[in-house]
Amino acid sequence: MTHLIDLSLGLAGTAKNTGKTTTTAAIVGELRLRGIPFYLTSIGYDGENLDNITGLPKPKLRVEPGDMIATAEKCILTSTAALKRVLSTDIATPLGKVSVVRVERPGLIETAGPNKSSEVKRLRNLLREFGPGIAIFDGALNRIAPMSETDGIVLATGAAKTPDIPRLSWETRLISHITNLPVVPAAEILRNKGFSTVALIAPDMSTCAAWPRSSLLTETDVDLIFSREIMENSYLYIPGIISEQAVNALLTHLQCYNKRLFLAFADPTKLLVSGNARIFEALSLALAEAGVFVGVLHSVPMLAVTVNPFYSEYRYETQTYRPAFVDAVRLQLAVQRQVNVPVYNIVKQGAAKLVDLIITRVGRWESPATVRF
Amino acid sequence: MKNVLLAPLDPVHDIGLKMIARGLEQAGHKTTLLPPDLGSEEIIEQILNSPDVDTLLLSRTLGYGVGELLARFVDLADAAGVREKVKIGIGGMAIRPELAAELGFDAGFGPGTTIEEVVCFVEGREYRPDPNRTNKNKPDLTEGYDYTYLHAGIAAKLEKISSFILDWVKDKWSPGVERARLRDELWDVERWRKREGNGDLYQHYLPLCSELPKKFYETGELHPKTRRFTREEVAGLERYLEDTKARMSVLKLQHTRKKPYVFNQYGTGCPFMDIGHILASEAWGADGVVHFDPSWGARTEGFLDGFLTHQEDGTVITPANLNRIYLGLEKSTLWQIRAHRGLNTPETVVLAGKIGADLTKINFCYGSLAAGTDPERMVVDAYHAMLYAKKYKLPFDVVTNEELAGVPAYKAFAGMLIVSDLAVRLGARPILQPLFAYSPEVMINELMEDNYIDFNAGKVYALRGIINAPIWPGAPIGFLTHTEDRVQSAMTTALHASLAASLGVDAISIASTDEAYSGGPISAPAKVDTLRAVQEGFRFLGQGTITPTDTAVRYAERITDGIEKVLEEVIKAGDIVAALHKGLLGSREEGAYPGRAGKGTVETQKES
Amino acid sequence: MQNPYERIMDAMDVETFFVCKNEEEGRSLMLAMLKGWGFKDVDVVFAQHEGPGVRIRGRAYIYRPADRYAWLLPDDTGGTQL
Repeated sequence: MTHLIDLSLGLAGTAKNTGKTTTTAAIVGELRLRGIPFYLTSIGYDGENLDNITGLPKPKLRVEPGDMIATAEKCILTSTAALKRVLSTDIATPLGKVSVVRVERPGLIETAGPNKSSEVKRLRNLLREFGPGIAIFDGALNRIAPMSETDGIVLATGAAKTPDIPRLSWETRLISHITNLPVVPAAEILRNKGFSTVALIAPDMSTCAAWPRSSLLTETDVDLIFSREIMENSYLYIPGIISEQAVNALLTHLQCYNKRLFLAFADPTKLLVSGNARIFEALSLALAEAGVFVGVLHSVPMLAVTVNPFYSEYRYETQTYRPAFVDAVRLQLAVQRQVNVPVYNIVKQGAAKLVDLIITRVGRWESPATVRF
Repeated sequence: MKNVLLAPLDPVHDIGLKMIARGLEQAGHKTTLLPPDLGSEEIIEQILNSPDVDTLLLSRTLGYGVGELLARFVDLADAAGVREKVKIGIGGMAIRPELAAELGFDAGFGPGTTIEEVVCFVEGREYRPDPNRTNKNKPDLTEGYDYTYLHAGIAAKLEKISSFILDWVKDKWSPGVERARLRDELWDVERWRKREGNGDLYQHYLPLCSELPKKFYETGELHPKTRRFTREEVAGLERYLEDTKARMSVLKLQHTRKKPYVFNQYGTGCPFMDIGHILASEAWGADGVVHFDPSWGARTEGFLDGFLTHQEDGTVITPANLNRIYLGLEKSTLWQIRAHRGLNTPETVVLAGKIGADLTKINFCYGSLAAGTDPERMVVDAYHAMLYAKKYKLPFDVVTNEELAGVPAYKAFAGMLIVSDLAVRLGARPILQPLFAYSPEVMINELMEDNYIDFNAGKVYALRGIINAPIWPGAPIGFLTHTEDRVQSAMTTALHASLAASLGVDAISIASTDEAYSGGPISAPAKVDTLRAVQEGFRFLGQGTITPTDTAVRYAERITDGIEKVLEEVIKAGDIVAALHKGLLGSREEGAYPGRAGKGTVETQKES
Repeated sequence: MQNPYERIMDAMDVETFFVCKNEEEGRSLMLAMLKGWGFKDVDVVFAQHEGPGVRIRGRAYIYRPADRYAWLLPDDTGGTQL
């Protein structure tokens, strides 16, 4: 019964060459070793893995018999592994529709999955129907939003993002800060109310006001909210995104507002996508001073960070790139000091500890057909 | 009807996006074009503000940081919940469809996307590209030719002739040569396009002009058959061009072959009508267009200026007229401006080069024997024209239309080869232009008694046996086989085109089905007629061939022998101008009359 | 003088080039033009639209088979059924 587990895990890289593929392969290897079932898929695909001439994916990831993969039609065509199709979905990608396959003979394959949040969610639910296991969503470069459909992420970062160690640690801290925002106390009630637009909710959970849009984008949006009386301990819920402009406007208003307020976002990715993590950190400090509690309805915690000391160094004299490394130990320590989740160097340490950690996060799998009374 | 929001992710507006907006409107959709330089959040705000929008089209022309920018945009759209209700497409110079797909856009449109493709995306239809409507590229007709001689005897004779022409011409000067120099040195086309005037060009230019341009510049008086356009007409043209360009696509005529490229001519007198005709020609598959100017233009020293329309055949060459036409051309269209026959020959080349033409036309033999220009003047001016053709990288065809007057092919070819040899020595890129014609020589000697194939094929065989040079039969093919009947006319053009394709020539010029009609200008349907006919001819032929009879080889031998004899006589004359006057390259009996325009204007002491 | 239309054997074709947005518009223009000339039995034989406009051939039937042809019966008064 130990393997009646349910988890969807997102793997997010901060840049190319930060070791996301290495991390994925190491996690998969470890899960296989322990006999823990898993489904491997990705959010979007890596365009660099397409053959320049044929435009077809070049298979890169080694898979073993029994592995379950969800990938697009063209990746199935070019795979060197023997595959048995177990489910055809109508989830479309530029490389064809996604199918779920079981590996029969080992070989190489490329994963390409959906890239819209709603479709990631659909795939997640489809995979759940196959039985227990860990669904691994390998994230395409620069795409954060679809990670909201996972239960937690492992962040792959490293010198390829920037070889400046203090800067890298600081950036990682910002991401960690946002991903680990707490769930607001009334999260369940708010989730059940199912707001799809910005809403102001009174402490008794009655709706004071709802605006027509999901996001706060302009100063005017914010001014409108604060044009009305706001009761202490109210919730301001923002299901969409918030722009830098709106963040600043919010700050101005809140500094004059000296009552406790819950500022609730749908999930942390909504704050990560705007690329304004830095501004948001300033906001949350100021907000805390003003007695504002910032949280999310649905948490997407960062479970761990993996670091990779590799980067390509540009040489001015020859105008070429050459492989280079920052000090691996210093990098790992520096990042560890800034975040309160474990930091691993997968190449040196392997994935055993990381998988131990992931296992602690799994939920109990229940068949989607289960009916509660 | 779809509601489409279009937004440039650039600091400036993308003309492509405007054209797409127009195309979508014409397909019956509602479009809103946002101003440039909005941030991603602002564009998303616009979508949230317009709940009816179902498609967003973004454009990005700048390549820098495009991956990060677009990934962030899609992420923001996803997180803001707009992806669920709005399809997002991205296009522009910086966009590779693969990148767009990888980043999660619903569609990516790279350079060369047709408006139809975007309309299909908006309407949710599958786009099926027409294989005949592919993107055309502008070819260099002279590519791959090295102008080496395969006939040693003719090569040696041409070398002698070129050397005495060069020796004679080097210190010669004419008002035409001087105007070309002024246009070359004093006229900055970029400044002129920015409406910053002509510098002090006309100060020096005026004394070198004949009465008509002089009066024009001094008093503003125009040629009696010309008038200026009104402001309203110009605004109308701009609207018409914007409308038409938005739905413009071009057919490819050659089926499975690459060559020959197909040219037709325009020159109704009115640049606006010409633009309409050019667009129709391009849409129906013409690869190139040839500018026809009025015959009086060739006998006038100097060009007029301004945006002028002309009531009779031939569109007046002025910088403004040429520039308007240039701006209306499709990117893939080869544009030829003829310089071959008159008193403005070298300046035409300079103007054509500066404004953006791809090809010109030069032949002092034809110009002086069949087009009315004094031989001495024509040789001097053509020499300078070739130097400018080299400078402005304009290959040019060497026409042999003196055949139409009655000059036999071998004499016309001797002249063409003399001009070409000189051109190659000067570093220019000539293209041989034999006629495919039912010429007087042919009629008198019954050379086409059985078929139209052998003599035309014989001409190409002869030239191929002499020199490795590009060949562009013209002009137009099937000359004098056309009647006023459009079916007959289209048919003969298609058959001659198929013969040209079969012979593997590089280009052809074709007539319209109005070729034989002389009661007025060519009509648009008449141009479409022959383009459609030629397309069908090429479709019919494919990689197949038309096999000439053995007679073609005999004709080729006869032409080659004739050429060599003519060259021998020219060498004996020792002087190209004398040879032209003597009729060695076409005599009075053969219908060639040395012209008089510009007589006595050549001076030996070149002004510095 | 006899109406020249009556000397047409069967139909009159009109070919031209309309500057227009699409083939549909071109067809409508042709039919409107022929009707404007007073023809009742009109059709479009061929239309090809490319970017700048439509190359089009319209037709007006003067006589359909089994009509009474004026070029056969210049002074037609109805005749006697055989």
